[in-house]
Amino acid sequence: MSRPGGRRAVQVLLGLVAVGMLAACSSATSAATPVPAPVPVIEPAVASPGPVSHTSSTTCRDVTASQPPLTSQPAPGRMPRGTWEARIQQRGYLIAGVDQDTYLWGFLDPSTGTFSGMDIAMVQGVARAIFGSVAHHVRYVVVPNDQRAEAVFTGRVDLVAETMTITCARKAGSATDPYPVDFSAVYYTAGQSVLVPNGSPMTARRATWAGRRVCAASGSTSLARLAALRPAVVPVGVANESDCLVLLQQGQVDAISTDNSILVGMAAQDPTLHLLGGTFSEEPYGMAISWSHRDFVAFVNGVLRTERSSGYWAASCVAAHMCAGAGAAGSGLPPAVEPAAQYTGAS
Amino acid sequence: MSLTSLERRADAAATPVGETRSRSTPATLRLFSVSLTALVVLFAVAAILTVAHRETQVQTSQGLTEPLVVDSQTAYTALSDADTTVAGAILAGPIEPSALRQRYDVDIARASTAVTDAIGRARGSSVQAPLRTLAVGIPFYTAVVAQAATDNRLGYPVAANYLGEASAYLRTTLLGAAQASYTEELARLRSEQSAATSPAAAWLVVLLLAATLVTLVVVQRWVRARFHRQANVGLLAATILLAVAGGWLAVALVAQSGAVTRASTTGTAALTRYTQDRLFGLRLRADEELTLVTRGTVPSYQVDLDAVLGHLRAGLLGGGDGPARADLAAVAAQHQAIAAQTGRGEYTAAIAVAEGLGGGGLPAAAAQLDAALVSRVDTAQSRFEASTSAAAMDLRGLRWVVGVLAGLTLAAGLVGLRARAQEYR
Repeated sequence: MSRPGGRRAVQVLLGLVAVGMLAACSSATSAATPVPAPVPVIEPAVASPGPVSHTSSTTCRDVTASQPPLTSQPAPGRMPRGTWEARIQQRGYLIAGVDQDTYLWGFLDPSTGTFSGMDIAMVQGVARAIFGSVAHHVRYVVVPNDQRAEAVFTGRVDLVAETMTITCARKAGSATDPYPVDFSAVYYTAGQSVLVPNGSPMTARRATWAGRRVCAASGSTSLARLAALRPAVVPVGVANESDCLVLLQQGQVDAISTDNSILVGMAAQDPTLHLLGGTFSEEPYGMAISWSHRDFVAFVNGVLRTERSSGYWAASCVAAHMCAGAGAAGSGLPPAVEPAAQYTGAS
Repeated sequence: MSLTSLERRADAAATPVGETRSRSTPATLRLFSVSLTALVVLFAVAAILTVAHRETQVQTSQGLTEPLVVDSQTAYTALSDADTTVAGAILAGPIEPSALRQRYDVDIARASTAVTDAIGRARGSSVQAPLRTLAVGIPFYTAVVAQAATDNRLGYPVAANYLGEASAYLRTTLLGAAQASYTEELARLRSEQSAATSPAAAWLVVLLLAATLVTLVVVQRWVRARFHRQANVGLLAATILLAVAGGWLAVALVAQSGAVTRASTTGTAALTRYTQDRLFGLRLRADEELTLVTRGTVPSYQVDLDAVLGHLRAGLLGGGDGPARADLAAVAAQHQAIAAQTGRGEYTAAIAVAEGLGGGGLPAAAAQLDAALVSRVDTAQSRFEASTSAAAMDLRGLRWVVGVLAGLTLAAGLVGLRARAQEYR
């Protein structure tokens, strides 16, 4: 920061001192001193934001089962005629719905100005399988979480890779999920956990959570689960999950609760925060793809299968700090092993 | 009928006449003296009070209210500029461009100085509350911005959340307070301007002047008829002095009213309009940058941008400002280019336009529009100041002139009447 000239600096200092003195003076004498209240002003989400859809729904037998891949994947640049991946190849780029503020999953790396993270690595794997290279072959569209299914359903994007949990309700559609979408095979399994500041009285023992203010995204299953916890916590809903980190750092909430994968990304932005051990849900992540592109789902599953043998998945997971690399045992992260794919049987 | 009786009758007839003349004429003269004194004093008091009232209004608007309007306006524009500058600096990458950092520092310094100045001026005024909100809020705002900048340097995406929080706080709380103080002072200025041109008090003065003049004329006619004199020098002098005082007063008040009306129409009105347009211009850029920082995931910025663009178009079209309209068209064209690029997901290209990388782009177009509006704001302000000074000059010393002339009128009138009254001593 350069100084805007000596004289001005003095004026500035005098100005600031005067403002400070005035503020101090008025706070001592007047009860009406406005205390800055950060925005967004948050309201505790007292009412439960609806049923936890994918735990109560029983409309699908095996939620994570996806289209089986072809026995042999087509070579890059040679997509079979008539398939959606051929359309993408013809178009010249893959359109992917991603996050830009979920650290280590989908975020803009300001030093490079490019998207990075585990979700982005998955998108790039698909692009590389279609085109043979990634550069200029991916168009990222930032899609807010509540518009993910809609973006896939309406064809705005070819796929969505945004820490999206595969659920029966999302696959079949429901009152809260009006846009049914298909999913690829599972590429990561997360679970809901809790992030607290160091020194917090909250521990892995649920009894210590009673009455604490816990932040989660409005309308998310995380918030619904928080509302169902006993002893009760005070769920605090915000429009954007990443705003929870601001509220926690400003001491407006006691903890954040969402998928541990996302909490790891938040903890990485602040060394004074830590995750409580254990999870209280299972969140299998898949790439959302339109039901009308079943051939493309099979193709993506083929890509995921190839990435297991090539080591691309494991390398990506370690690079995104979501899996424990070699010699990193005890980090609390899962081992770098791609989840076993389940496919819808021919039966 | 004897002569004596005739003589006696004549005496009887003459004596009452003589007695009436000797007894009721001094009474009439006394009545005239008292009426004239009362009327001249009333006229002088009304005129002096009217002038003093107008002088106070003009001096208050010149020395207190207008500076407060300028202070609020400075705080408002400096904070709006900070909003734009910070968003641009963070959009530029992990290392803030030093020019933007410097501009932000200057913005905060200007806003803080304006608020401290205004608090000093507005002592005891109701505008204190919004000013206090600003004084307490600016350090809070800068703290949130500092957190956003730190996270941005570290490459943490939470920087965008802090930026969003800072911007929301600035727009709702700080700009809300600046707007409240600005609106309040502007309303005060307008009421001062209308009080300084209010004809109600002036009509009373005119009425009293007319009544006094009519009285003087009636007295002179009566004196001429009663005493068979051609002219009473004292009363004539009083009439002329009063006419001069009235004429002087009328000319000065009409000139002052004209000057205040000019200050209001070519100054205050234009100042208000162009300041508003300027704020819209700054807000448009901030909206564009915040849209890009959040990659379009916060739709309210885009909605706000469209609304602001609509206001600007309506405002500038309404005023028939050719050059500013061309500048606005250039800004709108840059916005269209950015919107087209973001629609295709080409954020790097869109940011290049929004940040003016490689010259031109949105910053150049926005700066040109801002410069066009700033020159209009400056013109309006100097017009206001010139016209208000002229109004103050028109009133300067007028109270003394009216007072002295009224005193001389009274003295001359009383001297004239006293000369007649002495004939009965």
